[in-house]
Amino acid sequence: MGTAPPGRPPAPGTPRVRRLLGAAAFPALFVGLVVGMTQLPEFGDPASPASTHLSPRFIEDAAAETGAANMVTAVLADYRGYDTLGEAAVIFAAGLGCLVILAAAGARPDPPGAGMSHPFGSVVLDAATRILVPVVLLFAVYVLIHGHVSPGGGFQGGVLFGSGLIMMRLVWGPAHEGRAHQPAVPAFGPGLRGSLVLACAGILAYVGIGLAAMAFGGEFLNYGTLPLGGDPAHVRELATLGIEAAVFLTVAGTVAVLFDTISIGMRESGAPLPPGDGDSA
Amino acid sequence: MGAFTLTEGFAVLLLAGGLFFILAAVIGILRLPDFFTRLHAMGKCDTAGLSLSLLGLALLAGDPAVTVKLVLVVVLVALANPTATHALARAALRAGVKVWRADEPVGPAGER
Amino acid sequence: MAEGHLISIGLLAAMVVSAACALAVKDLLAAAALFGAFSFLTATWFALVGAVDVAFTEACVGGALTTILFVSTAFRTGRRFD
Repeated sequence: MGTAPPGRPPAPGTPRVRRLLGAAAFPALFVGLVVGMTQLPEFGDPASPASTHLSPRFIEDAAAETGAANMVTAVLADYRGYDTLGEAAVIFAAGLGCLVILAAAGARPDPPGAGMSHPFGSVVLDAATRILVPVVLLFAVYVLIHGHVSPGGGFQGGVLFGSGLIMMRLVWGPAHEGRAHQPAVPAFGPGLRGSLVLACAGILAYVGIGLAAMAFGGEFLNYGTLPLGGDPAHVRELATLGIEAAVFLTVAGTVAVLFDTISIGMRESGAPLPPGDGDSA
Repeated sequence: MGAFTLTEGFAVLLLAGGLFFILAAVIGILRLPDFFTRLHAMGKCDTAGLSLSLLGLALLAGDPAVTVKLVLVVVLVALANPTATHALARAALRAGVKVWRADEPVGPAGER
Repeated sequence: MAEGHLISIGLLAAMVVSAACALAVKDLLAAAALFGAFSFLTATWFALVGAVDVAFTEACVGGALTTILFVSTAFRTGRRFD
């Protein structure tokens, strides 16, 4: 399973028609993009519609409309919800791509006692990590929630949370494994599968909030229509927090998945390598 | 040009002490012969220098919230910096970096 | 204003130097460390010019996360680039 597929046939040649279509589409796309680019307003032009209409409206109405004192959060999670959905999806896809590619390449765990996927085994580090990890994880949640009024938000909080998960893996070895023989070590935290579930749950929650807004008569990701009670600004504030939490889950899970797939190979996914399967990957 | 207040005087003293330790760390990294002695200079002097500088800044900060946050950063540095130094030294020892001795000197990367 | 410009120029120069060094060194571990330094300088500069949110993200992602991922990748693939 982990070996390079022997004698896989080469990819079939592209049919002539498809190649011609591609050859025609590429210059057309290029010309179209260049022509479109010349029609764009100058970068930073104070007289462009974005500067004369959009920016003042965001700056003046963001706090009243979305209840978020931090305007960056208001724009990212509310006005520009589509963009943020795309970003979260890209990060999620990167994690999935890493998982699939490394699984196909048959990445395997390091030999015992070597590499990054084994407990470091130091009392000092263990004690310090016991103190630091809860602080890091709590600070990540603080950054997520406080993103409404101060710099921060789901993305930064998610990265911090994922870093806390990685810190535990670096010091104590992969979650749920490698810890069985050292009962003094806490077994807290999701493993590879758990992290993948976290990431999927995040992206599903994001799309789910958008679809729920549609179900209650708004457009996709137009949260003002959600029946959460209270005035629209308050509803949008709550929904923005939900969106940030979804981004948080996606990023935190993906970060842990990335580290796990790179550092421990596919040990947890049930793709073990037969013993003695040499250096074929 | 008025006189210093007491707080400002303390802050300047702390900042000067912090700068002194950071300077000592830099000189140590440049002058000491191998990885472990350099780590010895960097770990302690960096922690002391950073902590003193941040405490000085905490005295100067007008906003109490900023002062509290800076003190928390000092606590974090005092916890994380020695731990990182310890982890580096242990990893280097495990990786087989040679220790410098006066009678058998080795280069900074552990080469004889 | 002038001091701000001086700090900004110093940071930008240090960014260029660290980026060039990260490209030049053959040891991937050193390159990852230099890239982390580059990210941290970038974050400092972002904070200096007032983009605190971007600075925060850059410090989290560039300074911490990608450095860890680069180091673990270097662990898997071999340390030298010749």
